[in-house]
Amino acid sequence: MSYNGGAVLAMKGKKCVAIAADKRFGIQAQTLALDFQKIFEMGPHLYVGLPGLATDTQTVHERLKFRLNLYELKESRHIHPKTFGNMVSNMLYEKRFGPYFVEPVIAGLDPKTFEPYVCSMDLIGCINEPEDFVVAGTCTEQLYGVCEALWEPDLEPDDLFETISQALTNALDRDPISGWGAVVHIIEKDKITTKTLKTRMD
Amino acid sequence: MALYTVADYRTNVGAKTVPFIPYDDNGGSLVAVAGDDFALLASDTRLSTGFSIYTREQSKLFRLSDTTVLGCAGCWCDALTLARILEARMQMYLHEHQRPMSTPAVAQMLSTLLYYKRFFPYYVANLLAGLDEEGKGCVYSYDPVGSYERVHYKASGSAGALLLPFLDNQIGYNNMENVTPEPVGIPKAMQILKDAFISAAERDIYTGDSIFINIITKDGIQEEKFALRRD
Amino acid sequence: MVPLHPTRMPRSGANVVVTDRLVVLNIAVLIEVGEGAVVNNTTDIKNKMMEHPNMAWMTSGDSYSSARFWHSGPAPGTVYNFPGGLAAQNTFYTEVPQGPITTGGSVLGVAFEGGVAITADILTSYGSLARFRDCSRVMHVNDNIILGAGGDYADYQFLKDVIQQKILEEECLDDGFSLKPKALHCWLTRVMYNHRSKLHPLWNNFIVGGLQDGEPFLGAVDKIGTAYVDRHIATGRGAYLALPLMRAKVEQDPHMTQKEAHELLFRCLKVLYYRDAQSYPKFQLATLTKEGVSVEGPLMVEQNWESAHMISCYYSVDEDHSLLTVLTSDYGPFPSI
Repeated sequence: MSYNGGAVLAMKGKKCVAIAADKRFGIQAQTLALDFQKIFEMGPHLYVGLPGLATDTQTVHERLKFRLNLYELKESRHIHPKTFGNMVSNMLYEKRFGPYFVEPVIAGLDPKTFEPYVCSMDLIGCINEPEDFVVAGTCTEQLYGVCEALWEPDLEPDDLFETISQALTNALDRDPISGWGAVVHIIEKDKITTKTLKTRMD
Repeated sequence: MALYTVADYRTNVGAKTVPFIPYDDNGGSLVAVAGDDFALLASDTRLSTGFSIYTREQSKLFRLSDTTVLGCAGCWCDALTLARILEARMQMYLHEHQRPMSTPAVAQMLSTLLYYKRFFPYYVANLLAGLDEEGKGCVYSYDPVGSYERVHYKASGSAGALLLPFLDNQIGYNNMENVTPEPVGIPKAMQILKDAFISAAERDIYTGDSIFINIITKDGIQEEKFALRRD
Repeated sequence: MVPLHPTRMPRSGANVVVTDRLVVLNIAVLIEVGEGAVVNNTTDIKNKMMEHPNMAWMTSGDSYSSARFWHSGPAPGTVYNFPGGLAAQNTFYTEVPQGPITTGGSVLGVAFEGGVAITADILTSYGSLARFRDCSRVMHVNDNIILGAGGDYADYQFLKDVIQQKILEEECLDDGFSLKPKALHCWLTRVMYNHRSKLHPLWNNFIVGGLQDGEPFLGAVDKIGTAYVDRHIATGRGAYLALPLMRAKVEQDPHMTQKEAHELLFRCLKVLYYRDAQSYPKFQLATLTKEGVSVEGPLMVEQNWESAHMISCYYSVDEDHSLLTVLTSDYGPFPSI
């Protein structure tokens, strides 16, 4: 779980959700790239973050995309983030005794009601569906500490962006194997804003 | 009943041998903030082992002099011993030099005491807070074997990782734009400190019940208590 | 002499084999207390073992215990292991396994308005065997102090002798001063810590109770010297089964009377007797007030097995409960509710 490093965080706001991750790719203490993608768009209002072992990040993403395509072909509709969460969980549990080393974070809006939704799970698919925020990766302790202090209910998109960015960057600064830039997606009903953050590079 | 030889009872039925571990992790968190003319040191009051709580009323702060307070969390029996030795050494210094030890001197002595037990360490997180010779607030942070540095603020103990990035942000002004960093005052430091502990108590089972805060100024040490969640 | 298992033999030094745990323990104690001569060759071996404690533990956590406290360094007492280094293998010493042999179970203590009460059952066990059924584990130290002990009974007996000697010497001074509970608590803390630091612990939990300056005092010490003070303390399985009851009671009624304190302890002992397999219905109760100390007992836990027949495989339901009577005939007829 801490071979490549990396962290993902998602938060609920008022009629919006945000998901953010760092951009580092490294092997143990050695940083190799500063543009590694850990968050993937899985639908118009659906994002998944896959921190953990980098090779599994990519593999799990590919396999999820495949399963999601089949679902959408069969159902002719967009998937609900909760359903997608169960799909991810199910896929991970198939590898119960030889798991993918990823801790997925899902953030999205209900395709019909646009209700915000976030969830996270462990590497074998145990879903956690809280009311506020989810964290995953190598600096979860730091993230929990700042998120508990900074998050509040019903944040507007702009405030949510500020909150999630502050939470992530300050946590990243206390983790040597995460950071080197970050990306934030703010998901609203008719707008998705993607911003990249400048963070400490040491 | 059969007579067991020594060799027998170690491998056989009857009394089981339990490996002896001379350490325990009793948890506890510490936060310290140094200001221009004051220092704050706070600890939670929960003393635990594993999933059970020994007591909800154990301060982890040790008042060493009118200007120096030590915070000790981790293996409680080591914390008690270390604080006791420090207190004794402070007394010896007082009697020998006719004045109390300065905080930076205590800081160096603590480092030496910790390193003295390098190969059977005191399993404790230490924060030392007080006023230096010029009356400025100072905080020293340690690892269990005596590596130390003077810092402006610090969190340590079981919820150190949860508390620290929040302090970085709120006291260290990290990742803040369009803000002129200004030295923190007592009221703001207290507010941040309480918020930090409230947050840490949400997620760290070894932190909770309440916090004890020592406010060290040139007029003496004030004490304050603040309630946290008890679950 | 019975040879030990090869791995438990000291591999260097004289080929003397430590056969008796208590011999080693007593020598360690003598050094500590500073009385009597020290047997040289045995202590040499002991010292060799003491200087190089095995530190292989505490390297990682699991889902039930926290991970390493000091994340970035080697485990306490070990040195940094560089790849290809020589430090990895340890051939100098072997660990002497040790642990409690004949053990007492939970000890309970509460402070009430004007005094303290400590109680413990009178059973000592040998592993899972209920071995001795009349072992007092509460002690009247002096008119200021009572003491309850759990864990290894031999270690308790040893310390009891040391404490009694202390009290005796103090009485001989006849200066009107006597040991106070905080002093004994503090002293026990140091004795326990010093022994654990030599890796030869006295395997006990103690509860010290008393009155100091008119205020009730209740303090606990364990085998590594962890010490704390509270208004209610329970050790062993009592920490899980009795302490919640005590906390609930103290929270709703912080100023208990002596009678209420006794009732609380009786209730806790009953719960322990029902659910802790290593407990016993006979117990002693020590109470300390400014009027003095009383150690009562052995007393009986009030018990009621009327609902036992509802557990299907307990025994076949018998109209006149005769089987049940047989099972518990040691303790006489059932007390009514």
